[in-house]
Amino acid sequence: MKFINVPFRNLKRRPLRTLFTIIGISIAVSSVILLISMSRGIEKAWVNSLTERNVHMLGLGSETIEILTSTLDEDLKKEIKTVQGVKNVSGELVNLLRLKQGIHLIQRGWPKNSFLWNTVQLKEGNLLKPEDSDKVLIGQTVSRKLNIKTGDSIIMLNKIFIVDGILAPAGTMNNSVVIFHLKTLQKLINKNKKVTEFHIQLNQPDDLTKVKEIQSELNKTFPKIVFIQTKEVGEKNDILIIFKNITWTTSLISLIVALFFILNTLLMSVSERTKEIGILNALGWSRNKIIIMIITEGIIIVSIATVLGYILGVISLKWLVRLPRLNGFFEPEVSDYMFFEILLVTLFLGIVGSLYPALKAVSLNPVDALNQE
Amino acid sequence: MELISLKNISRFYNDQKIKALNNITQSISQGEFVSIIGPSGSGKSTLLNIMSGLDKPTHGEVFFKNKKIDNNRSWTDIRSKNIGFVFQRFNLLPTFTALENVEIPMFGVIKNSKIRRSKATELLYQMGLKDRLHHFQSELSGGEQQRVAIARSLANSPDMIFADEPTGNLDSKTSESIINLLLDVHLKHNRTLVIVTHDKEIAKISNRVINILDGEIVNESFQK
Ligand SMILES: Nc1ncnc2c1ncn2[C@@H]1O[C@H](COP(=O)(O)OP(=O)(O)OP(=O)(O)O)[C@@H](O)[C@H]1O
Ligand SMILES: [Mg+2]
Repeated sequence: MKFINVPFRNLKRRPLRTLFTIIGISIAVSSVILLISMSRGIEKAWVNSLTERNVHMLGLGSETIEILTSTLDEDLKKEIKTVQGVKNVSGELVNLLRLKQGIHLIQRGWPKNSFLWNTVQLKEGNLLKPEDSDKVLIGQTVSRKLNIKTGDSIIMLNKIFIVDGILAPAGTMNNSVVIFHLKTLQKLINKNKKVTEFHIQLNQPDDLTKVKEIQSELNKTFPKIVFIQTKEVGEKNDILIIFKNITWTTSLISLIVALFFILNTLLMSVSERTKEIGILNALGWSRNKIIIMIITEGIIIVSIATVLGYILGVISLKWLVRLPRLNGFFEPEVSDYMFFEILLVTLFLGIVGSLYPALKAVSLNPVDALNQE
Repeated sequence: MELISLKNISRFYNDQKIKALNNITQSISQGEFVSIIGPSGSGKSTLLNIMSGLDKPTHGEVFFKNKKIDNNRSWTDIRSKNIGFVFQRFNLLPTFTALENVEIPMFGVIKNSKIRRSKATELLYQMGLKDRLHHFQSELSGGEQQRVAIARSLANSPDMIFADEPTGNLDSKTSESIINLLLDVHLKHNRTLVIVTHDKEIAKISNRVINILDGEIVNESFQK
């Protein structure tokens, strides 16, 4: 028999209790995985949608909380363009729409001469011509879900549009997109002369100090607009920040629950093994060996629970992204890296949760422990 | 050579109201077979527990091989390597087989698990338990359990075996075989044997009988 068999055997003596504890902790772990990958997924989808368009910086209304409520004058574009280091600027009007079919779309309107058109790759059809005010481009997901191809029509806000092209597969957000001429979308949603945000390309996007300088220059020159680097969009968006905070708080609560699961289970286990711990002591087991035995029990529980919770988390995530209402807005991704992140946290919890029961076990008077029935 | 010696040992409970042991000075030498006898509640178990560091005296000092022992770490080390325990209620670990019970004290003393296993097997064979290696406590008779316990007490080849009423829970025939085994263990390797007992027959065959009453040694007799 190896030493590791001893804690395993102890856990097996109450198999159901051990099982329920493992299930409880793995549910906590899976909910943490779910929440964190969702919150990271939303941010990632957004950042991706911008990198796919070669956008280096984003300019939003400085006093808006939710990006869609941002409204800026489309003519500011010319002034932004004059700032040194700025290569291209394009306004964009954005709107979220839920079709009668229950499908969510992101409507985007681009000016006719926008650099954004150059970043588009088509799977089929054509880019919109300047006079195509009743035509749109659609993303993969939209095409698949509505089962429409180039030349078909699509009804949005009681207006009929003709699909002129379908975008090549891209990130989740850009797959759920419908692209209009800016004027068309402005008319459709009554935002004449307005845009939601400005997309900016820089001359030297890799020179980070330069980028920072331009950023602060822009922010100084246009107090009504806040300029954000693409990779920062998640950190600067209030809604995402709120969502992240909720995520972290909920995760923390889940993990604290898991901690008490371990604590409770091992405390019960230790107290019903009082006599056995006394015997081990009489047989010459040191305090440290007994402590290590009990902590190992905690570690075994959390390790199994983390593996199970991870699998559970991945499965429920797969199921969750299929829900039509969530589909298209985030790219949840569970990486091996995340597994090890969680494992690190749960191992810590396992050790903390078993430390008190372990110390309690070795604090017993050996004679009293031996005389227990 | 003196293995264990006690110097002015007292063990009081409830603020000196109960004197389980009162000012005992006594020692156990290498190779002795000592019986401790006395009525119930006289302090026999307390004496044995203090000699093995399981219990701490209220006053006095305990020496192992002439070295004063006063911390838990030294005591667990001594119990692990130099003292084998046999209890009245056998005290096998219920979730482990006979073989595993014998292996348990070897962790940390014998590093190799295969050697642990073969040594434990050998000890159980010596106790006549060849067919009981993989049985659990619940599947063994009292006498068999006590034989496993004796095998376990020998796991790390200790200098001393301490047995607290080892036959107290057994019928007379089984008791006899257990005593014979213990005697064997004592004689074969000149191992020190200290038995707490009510059994006059056991007392008769030991080298020395310590008679204890109300926490004091009232009589000590040597015999060949
Ligand atoms: N934890 C304790 N608290 C209070 N008194 C105790 C405690 N343990 C033992 N005693 C008392 O100490 C005295 C000696 O007890 P001990 O167990 O050594 O007796 P013993 O000779 O082994 O008796 P027995 O033959 O019944 O086993 C007894 O009077 C007992 O009641
Ligand atoms: Mg007793």
